Amino acid sequence: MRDLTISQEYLICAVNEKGTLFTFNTEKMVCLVAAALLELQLEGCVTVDKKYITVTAPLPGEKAHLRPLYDYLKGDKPMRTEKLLEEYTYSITDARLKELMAAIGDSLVGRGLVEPVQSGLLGRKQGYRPTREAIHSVVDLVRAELLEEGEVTEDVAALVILLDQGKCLKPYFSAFEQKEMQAKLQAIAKTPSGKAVRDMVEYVENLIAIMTVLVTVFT
Amino acid sequence: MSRQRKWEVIQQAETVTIGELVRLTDVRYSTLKYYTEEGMLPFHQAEENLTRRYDRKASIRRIQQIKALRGEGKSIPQIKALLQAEEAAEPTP
Repeated sequence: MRDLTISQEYLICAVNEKGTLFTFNTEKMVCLVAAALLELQLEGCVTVDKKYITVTAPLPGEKAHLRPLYDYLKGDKPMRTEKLLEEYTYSITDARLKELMAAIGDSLVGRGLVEPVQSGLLGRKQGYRPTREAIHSVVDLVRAELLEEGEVTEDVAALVILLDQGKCLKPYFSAFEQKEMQAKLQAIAKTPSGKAVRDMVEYVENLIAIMTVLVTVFT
Repeated sequence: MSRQRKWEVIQQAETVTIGELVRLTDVRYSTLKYYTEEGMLPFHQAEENLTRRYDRKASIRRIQQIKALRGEGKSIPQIKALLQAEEAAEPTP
């Protein structure tokens, strides 16, 4: 299987059998945005801290599936994280999240890894149902790195953190495997070179915390 | 921590990890893990706790060979015995 990115892999594992994310699980939605942000950050296109996201470099051609988010972030001044989350996960229309999901989903349709499906009560929602092969390929990649001896790449560490925080691990990994993976990530986080893992965990937790506050304030 | 290697890099690499071998061959991780544990898929490991590395070309050839033998209806123990006999017959360098 050719290269897949963090946001593409996350989408494959996070959607339900109808190919959508839109459930009552807000963490799942926040983690899709976080996946796209971490991917932009690892690519050197943005810098992120707890409060702001700053665009620092042009978007490479192979990251076209992140264009909607990148264009939204690209402004005269850094974007407040709270504003981004408000716009993406707590707006009335879900337009921005739908647009991001469509861009990521369409990039996978072209590769035959997901099938576009109509979902929702009136069939008006666009869903992306992953193939069994696509799911196996992502799940196997995670197993091959986190359940093996040796180095774990930043890409796989980020993906597992997102799947864990988005509560998406359970359908694919046994309780034993989840414990093993958590233990390995915690061990990495304690090493001097594990700063990337610590930062990623902290960042995703921070996004979910902001989202929780937004939900409380607006309801 | 490093980034994942790109497809083009993996395709040219001398040695690959089990995850990269999964991507190159489209064979499930659990299957490759099983072949490794059974000694059917040789690897190098510099030290315990370090990543196992597989010779890319030899491993792909070996996996194709196993697939072909499975296609002929041979069981895993039969394939294992065949591979062991083949290795024993190879002249030592």
